[in-house]
Amino acid sequence: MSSLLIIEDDELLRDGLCAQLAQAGHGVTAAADGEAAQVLLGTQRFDGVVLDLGLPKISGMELLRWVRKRLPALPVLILTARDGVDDRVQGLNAGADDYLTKPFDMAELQARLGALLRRAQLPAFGGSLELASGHSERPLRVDAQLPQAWLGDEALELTQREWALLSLLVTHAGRVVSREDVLETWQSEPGEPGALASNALEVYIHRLRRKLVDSGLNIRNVRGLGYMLETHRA
Amino acid sequence: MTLATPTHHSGQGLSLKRQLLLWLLLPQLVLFLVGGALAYRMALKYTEKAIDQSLTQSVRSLARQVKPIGSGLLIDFPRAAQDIIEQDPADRVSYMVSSPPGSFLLGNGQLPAPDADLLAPGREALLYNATVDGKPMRVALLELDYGDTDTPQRLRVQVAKSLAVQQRLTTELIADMLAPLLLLVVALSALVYGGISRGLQPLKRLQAQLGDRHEQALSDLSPIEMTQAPQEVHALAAAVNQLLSAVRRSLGQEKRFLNDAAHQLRTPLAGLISQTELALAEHDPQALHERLAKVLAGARRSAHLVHQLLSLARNEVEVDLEPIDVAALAREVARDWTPRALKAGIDLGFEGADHLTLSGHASLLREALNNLIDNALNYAGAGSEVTIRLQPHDDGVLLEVQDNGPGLSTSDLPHVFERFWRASDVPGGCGLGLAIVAEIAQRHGGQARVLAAQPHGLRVQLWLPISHEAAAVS
Repeated sequence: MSSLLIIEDDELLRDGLCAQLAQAGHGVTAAADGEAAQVLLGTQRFDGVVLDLGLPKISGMELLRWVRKRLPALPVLILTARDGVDDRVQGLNAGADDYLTKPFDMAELQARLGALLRRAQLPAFGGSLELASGHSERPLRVDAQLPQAWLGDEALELTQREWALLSLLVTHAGRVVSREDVLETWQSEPGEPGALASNALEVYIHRLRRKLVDSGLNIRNVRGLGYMLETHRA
Repeated sequence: MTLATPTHHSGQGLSLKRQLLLWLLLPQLVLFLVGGALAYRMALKYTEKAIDQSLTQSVRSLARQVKPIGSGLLIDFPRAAQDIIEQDPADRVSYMVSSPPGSFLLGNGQLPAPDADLLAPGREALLYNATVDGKPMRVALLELDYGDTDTPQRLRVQVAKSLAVQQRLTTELIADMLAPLLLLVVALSALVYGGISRGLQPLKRLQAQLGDRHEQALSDLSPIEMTQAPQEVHALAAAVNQLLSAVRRSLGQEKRFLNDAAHQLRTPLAGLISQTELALAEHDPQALHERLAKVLAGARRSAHLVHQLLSLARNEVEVDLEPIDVAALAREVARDWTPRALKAGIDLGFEGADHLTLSGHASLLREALNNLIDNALNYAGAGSEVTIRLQPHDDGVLLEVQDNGPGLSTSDLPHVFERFWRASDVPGGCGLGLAIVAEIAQRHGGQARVLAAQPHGLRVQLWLPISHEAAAVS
C-alpha cells in the first residue's frame, strides 16, 4: 500500500478520486489548494502525488516547481483540463513524471499511477516489488538493490541482459516496451559488449518466458510495437 | 457594452485624396515658382539691355554734338535735343560733358567716374552702375580724343539714367507674365481637386456601403452593389464580395455546426439529469446500480463529445508544422492504446517503416491517430484485429488503420467524414471522430479516405505530404 497526496480544488472530482484510489488500496490524503498541500508535504511522507494544474492561490505549476526543489524523487502525475501541447510540455519540463487530460478514465489513472510508483520503487529507492497474476502460488518478486529476482521463495538465475530486460518489463508492467527501449538499456549496461544478432531480443524473451512460466505472468508480443508484461490475463 | 472602434488616424498614412492633391499640386507650385524666378531674371536682363541701348544711343548722340575746333570745343546742344533727353521728369536723364575727364564742362549734374581699370578709350561706350545722390544709376560713358598732336586732349561724355526705371519695367513685365500664369495655376488646381473628388466618389460610396453595416448587424454579409464604378473599384468590390460570400458560407456552416453541437451536448446532459433523478428516487440496489451505470455512460459520452468539439475548435487555429518522425509517433500512440485493446480482446498491431519524417504537427497527428484507433476498437468488436500501417507513398506518407470488423455498407462510406454522421448506435460515439481526422489531414495538406477492407472490415487512410509546401505547389 502506498500513500498518495491528491491536490485538486474541484470538490466533486477530489472526492471521487480519493474514494476510488482508496478502494484500489492506496492510502489517500487530500488537499484543496497549494498552501494546504505544502503543509502536508512538509510534515508527511508520500509515495506519490496527483496534482491538478489549475489550482487557486498557488498555481499547480508553481507548486510542482516547489515540490521538485524539495523532493526531487517524488513521483508526480499532473492533471490538466487544457490539452494544448504547450501545457503538457511545460508540465513535463517543470518536473512532472506523467500527465492526464481531464476528463480521464479512472482505469487509466490507476495504470499510470501504478507504473509511476513501481518505477520509483525500482531503481531509485531499492525496495522490492511483487508482481502476481492473481491465481499463481509463486509471485514474481524483484529487488533492484541486490539485484535479485525470486519466483516465490526460489531465486531466479538471470544473466545481466536478462535482468535488464526483466526490470524494464516489470517497471512498465501493463504497458508496451519497444525494441528500441530494450536495446538502449542493453547498450548502457556495463559488460556483455559486442554486436547483437538481429533475433537476440526474441531469444532473450523466449528464455525469460520459460523462467517465468510458473509465475503465471506472460510476456506478450505486441505486433510491430514491442513486448508487454501482462499482470492480468485477458 | 463598449466596443473598441478603430480610429481613422492611428497608424494610417495620408488619405488618398490628400496624397493625390499633394503630388499633383506640389509640382505645379514648384513649376510656378521656378517659372517666376526665371521670368524675373529674364525681365531684368532685357530691361537692362533696353536701357543700355538707349543710354548708348544717347551718349553717342551727345558726343556727336561736341565738335572740336582747333584746341577748343564747340558744343552744339540745341534745346530740342535737351528736351528729348530730359523729357520724362520722373525718369530724369542726367548727362555731363567734361574735359579733361572729370572737369565739368556742361550738363545737369555731376556724374561719378567709373573704376579706373574699366576705362579704355575707344569707339565703344562703357556702361556701369553708380550711385548719384544716394540713388542707383546706370551710366553710359564715351571718351573721345581731340586737339592736335601737340596738345592732345580728351573729352568725356556721360549719360545716366535711374535704375528705378529698370525696377519699374521689370515689375511690370513680371506682373504681366505671372498674373495669367497664377490664374492658370489656380484654375488647374481647382480642376485637379474637382477631378480627384469625382474620381474618389466610388471609393466613398464603397466605404459608405460597408461602413453602414454596424456591429449589431455583423450577419449582414450581402454583397456590395457597385454599378458604374471604375474598373479598379469594381475589381476591389468584386474581391470584397467574394470574401463576403466565403465568410457567409463558412458562417452558415459554423451556425449549422453549432446548432448540431448544441443538440448533441444538451441531449446527453438531459439524459444525465433524468437518470440521476431516477437514481435518487430508487430504493432497489440492483435498479440503482443500473441507473448509475447509465449515468456513467452518459457522463463518458459528454466528456468524449466535449473533447472532440474542443479538438475541432483547436483545429481551426493556425498551426505551425515542423519535421516529426511520424513512424515513432504512430508506434508511441499505438503502444498507449495496447492495454485498452487487449482489455477489449482486440489484437492491435503496427506494420511499416521504423522512421518516416514529415512536416507535421505532433499533437494534431496524435489526435488523428487516437480517433482512428478509438473508432477501430469501438466498431471492430472483440476477437478482431486492428493494424496500423505506415508506408512512403507519392512524396508523402500513407497512414492507414485497418480492422477486420463488420465494416460499413457501400452507401455509408461517402458519409463517414461528415460531422455528426454516425453509422451505428455503438455507445460513446458522437460522429465527430472521422471529421476531425479529415480536417487534420487537410491541415497537413493531405487527405483522408475510407475503403472497405477484404474480406470485411474498414480501412481509413490518411495521405500526408512530406512537406506542406510541396503539396501546395503540386
